[in-house]
This record gives sequence, C-alpha cells and structure tokens, in this order.
Amino acid sequence: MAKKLMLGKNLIDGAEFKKDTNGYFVKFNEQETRVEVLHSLGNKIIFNVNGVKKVAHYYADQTGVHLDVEGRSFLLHGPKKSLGKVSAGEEEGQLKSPMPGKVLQVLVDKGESVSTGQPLLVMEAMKMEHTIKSPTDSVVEKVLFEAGDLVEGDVDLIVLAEVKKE
Amino acid sequence: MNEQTKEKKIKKLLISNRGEIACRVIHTAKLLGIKTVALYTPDEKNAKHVQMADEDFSLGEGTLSDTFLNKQKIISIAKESGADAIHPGYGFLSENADFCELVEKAGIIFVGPTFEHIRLMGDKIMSKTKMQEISVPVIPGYNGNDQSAANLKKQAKIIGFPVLIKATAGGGGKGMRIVHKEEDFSASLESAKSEALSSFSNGDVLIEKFITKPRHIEVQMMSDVHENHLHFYERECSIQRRYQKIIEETPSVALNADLRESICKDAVKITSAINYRGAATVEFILDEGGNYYFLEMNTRLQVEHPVTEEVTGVDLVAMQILVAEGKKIPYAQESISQRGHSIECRIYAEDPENNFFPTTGKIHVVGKSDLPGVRLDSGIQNGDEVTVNYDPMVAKLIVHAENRDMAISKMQKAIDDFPFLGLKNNRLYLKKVLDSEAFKEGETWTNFVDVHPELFEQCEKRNFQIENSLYGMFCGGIFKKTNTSSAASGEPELIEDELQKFRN
Repeated sequence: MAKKLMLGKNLIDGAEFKKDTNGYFVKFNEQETRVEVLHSLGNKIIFNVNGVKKVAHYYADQTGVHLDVEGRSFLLHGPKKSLGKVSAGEEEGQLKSPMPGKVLQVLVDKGESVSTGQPLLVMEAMKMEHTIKSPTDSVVEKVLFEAGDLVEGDVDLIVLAEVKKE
Repeated sequence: MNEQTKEKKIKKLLISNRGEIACRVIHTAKLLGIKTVALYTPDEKNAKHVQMADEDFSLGEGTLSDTFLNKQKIISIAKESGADAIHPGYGFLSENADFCELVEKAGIIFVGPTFEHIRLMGDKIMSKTKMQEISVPVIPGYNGNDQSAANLKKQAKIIGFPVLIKATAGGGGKGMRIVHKEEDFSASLESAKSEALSSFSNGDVLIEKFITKPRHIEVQMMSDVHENHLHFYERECSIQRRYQKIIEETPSVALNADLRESICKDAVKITSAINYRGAATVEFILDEGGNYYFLEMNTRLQVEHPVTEEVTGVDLVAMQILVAEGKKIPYAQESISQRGHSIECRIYAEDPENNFFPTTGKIHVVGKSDLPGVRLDSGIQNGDEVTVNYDPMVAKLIVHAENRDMAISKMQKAIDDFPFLGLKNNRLYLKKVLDSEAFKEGETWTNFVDVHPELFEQCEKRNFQIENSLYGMFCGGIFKKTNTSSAASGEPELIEDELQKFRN
C-alpha cells in the first residue's frame, strides 16, 4: 500500500506503509519510522516518532492538510489535487513567482539545458532578492519575462520541458 | 502652574496605528477606563484592533500617505470622534515632529514627547553634538577636510586602534579597511583611498573606532513633566537579520552591576538634559571591553517594550498615558527592579526554508499556550489574511521566567504552541537560534546571524522522520477536515474525513 502524496514541494512516491496494533510504520527516504498517535484533540495531535514525543498542529481544507511540527510547516495533499488553477500535469515543468515583484535578471535562454539547482531567474520583491532555481535537470522551453518586468504572484516565469521519470 | 504641568484627564484615545501595537495600546486604555478609537483601511475592516476598539473610522483606500501617514485626515477624525488624545504607536507618524506639532496645535494631547524633542533626536548630527556637550560617549571618529596621510594617522592614534577606514562617498564595503595596529595604518590607508577613488571618483575617507564583538544595548526611559526622569533598565537586541531585530531580551548577559548602573545613568543624563517627556529608548553599542557609545534615541514606544514590562512589572503604555495627562510617574527609581528574565521573539511572515522569502497566506490557527509567563502580542486572529501591504511582523512572543536558561527553554516550548498555521513563518529559525550553543552561552554579537550560517542550513535540511510520520498519519486517516466556523473560535470539532477522496 504505497500512496502517492505531495508533502510541500516533495512527492512521496514508493513509501512503505503498514498499520500495526498501536500505530503505523513508514519506510521512505531510507528512514524507518514508527508513528504512534497518543492524543488527538481539535487541531492538535500528540504523537510518538521512534519513541520521541512530538506535537503537530493541523488544519485541513480543500487544498489539503496544513501542518506544523516544531516550527516546520508543510502542506500535505494528494498528487492529483493541485493548488492553483492549473492541473497537475501542467504544473510540473513550470516555475512560478512566489510573490508579486520585479524580474531583475533572466539567466537562461530558450532551449538551454539546465541542471538541478541552477539559478534561472532573479526577482525582487519586498526589497529582497529571490533566485528561482531549476528543480530538475531539463531544457528551458519558454522564458516568459525579461529583466525589468513586473510580475504578479504565482504566475509562470519559466517553463521547463517535461522530464521523464524513471 | 504652567501649561505643560497642568493635569488633564484623557477620556477618549485615538490610536493612529494598526496591528499588534494598536491592540496593545487599546488593551491598556481599557484597563484605565479610557474609550478608544481605531483607524483602519478597508482591507482590515475586521481586524482585531478594530474589533477591540469602542469606535472605528475608515481611512479610506490608497497608499500609506493617503492613510496611516495622512496627518490631516487623522487629526480630523480625532476631532470628529471627540478624542482628546492620540497615541501614535511605533513606526508610521510616531517620530514625525510635524505631526506631533499639528496634533498639539489642534488642542489634542500627543501621547509622546514634544515636537522639539522629536526634531532634536531625529537629527543625527544635532543629537550627537548634544551628547558631546553632556559627555555621553559617541563612537570616536574623524570626518574632516585634512586628508593628508600624516593627519589621518594622527587622528587614528587619537581614536585608538582598531580603527575602521571608510570611504566618505562609500557604501557596500568598498574602500573600507579594518586596521588593528598602527604599523599597518599607512598601507591600509593607501589601498582604501585608491579603491575609494576608483569606485566613487573620490578618495576622501573618514576614520572611526572599530567596535569588536559589538552588542546592541538599549535603555528604556520614561519621563514626566515634573522633572522625574527614570530608567527601566536595559534590553539587549543583538540578534538581528538585515538590520531587523528578531530576538530581544533583558537583562543582558553582557552587563555586570557596575556597567548596568553606568549605562542607565548616562541614559538618564540624556533625558534630564533635554527635559524629555514620555517614553524613549536610548540605544548604545557595547564593545568587548565594556565601552559603550550612544547610537540614537528613539522618541516613542519600542517594539520590544514587553520584555521590560515583564521584568519590571510596569505597564509602559499606562505610564505613557499617565505622563501625557500631566501626572507624576508613581514610582521612585529605587523601587524599580529587574525580576527574572524575559525574551521576545518576533514572528515574521518569512520562509526560513526558502531564504527568508516573504510569505503571504491565510492564518487558520494562531495557537494558544497554557504555560504561565507566556504572552503573545499580535494583531492577528484565526482566519486573517496576511498580505504584503504592511510589515511582515505578525506577532511578538514574549516569555518571562526565573532565569535566562529557563526563559530559553520556555520560549522553545511556547514557539511550538503558536503555529500560525497556513502562513510560512520564521519560527523554525528562531528555535534554531535559541537552541544554539552560541546563544545559550550569551555570545550574542550583532553579527550573530551572519557568523552562524549553519542555523540556516539546519532549517533547510529536511527532517525525514517528521515527514514519514505525517505521511503515516495521513494514510492512517488521522487528520479530520476542520470546521471553519469552529476553527475561528479556536475550538474546532472533528467532522467526517473528507480527505479520503484524495487518497486514491
């Protein structure tokens, strides 16, 4: 039983999940985790991870489950359910502006091969610079803005070619 | 009795501010039996400060200069509402001498200093000159016309090594050199001058004392119009990111009893010398050797004032109002003491897992704490939307405990109690700072954030144990869809799991 889920920007695919007497066993990312829910009240869940007690706050709505554990926040949702107006298929190869702002520099051209982590575009918002990096090895399919352009939040900046997954 | 010392009871107070500070002022005004008037822009019509106030007025649409910086509009609303006083909070018009003058000319009490005080302390050169007149130390330096190498070297010796050579026209570290020893001075001067010349077409430099292991120490002041100039001890605010304070505390680990007395006395010397009125904060920079230098005086209530309130037990907003009414501060200096330790963390709408990029979003659950000695000053309620329109600070979390170690552990627990769910925020980074050896040891210099890049890396590192357990609980059907109306009241009930459909 290995469900695909999105946890933040990471896809959880191929995890091992088992239900046992008091909780769950999960194996993913080479980590074996035993979870036991100790207490659940309203938005708060107290649970045990490999014997260590932790607290999760959550709020579930149509976008998924918003979670906070020890200051780390996550959005957990199904892989088919995308958050924006675009469908999941389109979402994959695209890079969006995280905030309204201004494009300072475009570092790649159409057709260029890019590697994971390579800076693609620099934008400025709220007086801070933000570098948009490539999430994967790919090829630039479209560059939608140029330096100096003002952009809204959550719009596509660069489109990468779809990459086949193994 | 002259005009200034005449007592006048405030019956209705307008707060020309928003967010947590408006809520903070309204809270105390209520305790004092004073009616309150809130101002808002249409996007914040249902904000907490508007709900708390007895009356509210819209500032209308527009930019800040049309709204919270619109002096005439604010004064005319004050008149219309019958408010007899205006509290400016911090930021916005709080240190605007013209606003203060206009308010007083309109016959309304300005809860703060006189416009002359604001003008004097708002001017870097005038305030420095004043400090020199009354022998309060300022950072020694030379910024003169005699640019000969011989004179500059002489000046460096007078200032005392280490010194900083800076391009007069400079910025961004160009033409800047730290010189530790006299014998290195000439060579450093030459390279600084040539760099300045090529970068700014101007080779002039200034020389300043270089502060080693600097700390930001400030002293809370309060003065009435009866010549009582009191201090409420220090705060240390050395943990800053991009010149923005993020963690503040009192007492400071860097001050022993003598140094504390000396720095507080110097602060009192300043408020006495200018016959100040109201709340102020005198900011100093403290070096490794226990030397401190005046930086500036803020003529208003400070963001981090709660830590002082926690350790002294004094409501500083109440004191501001009392003083504005012309009353005496009901404390003698000797009766004010520091009890225990208090820390404040500023919660910002920033994502520490993504280079502190500003975030926006709807806050589903602010959170609450059952721990004693935990205080949350916030203008945010469940269901509020955080936008880019205003400052990214969403709340201040304050703890009070017997000592520093206990305050640190209490803060770590308290941070967990307030998730601000739905909005990515800097709480993880705050926890990493509090948990670091350097912070625990009190090695808190103003460059703390820059010299501890490992704390950013810890934030960015994924925690697979947590991720796996969330995945497990999701698959196990633990998370229930939250009822919106009950979430807003903070007491959600469990309803049918509608998330089931996502799982196939």
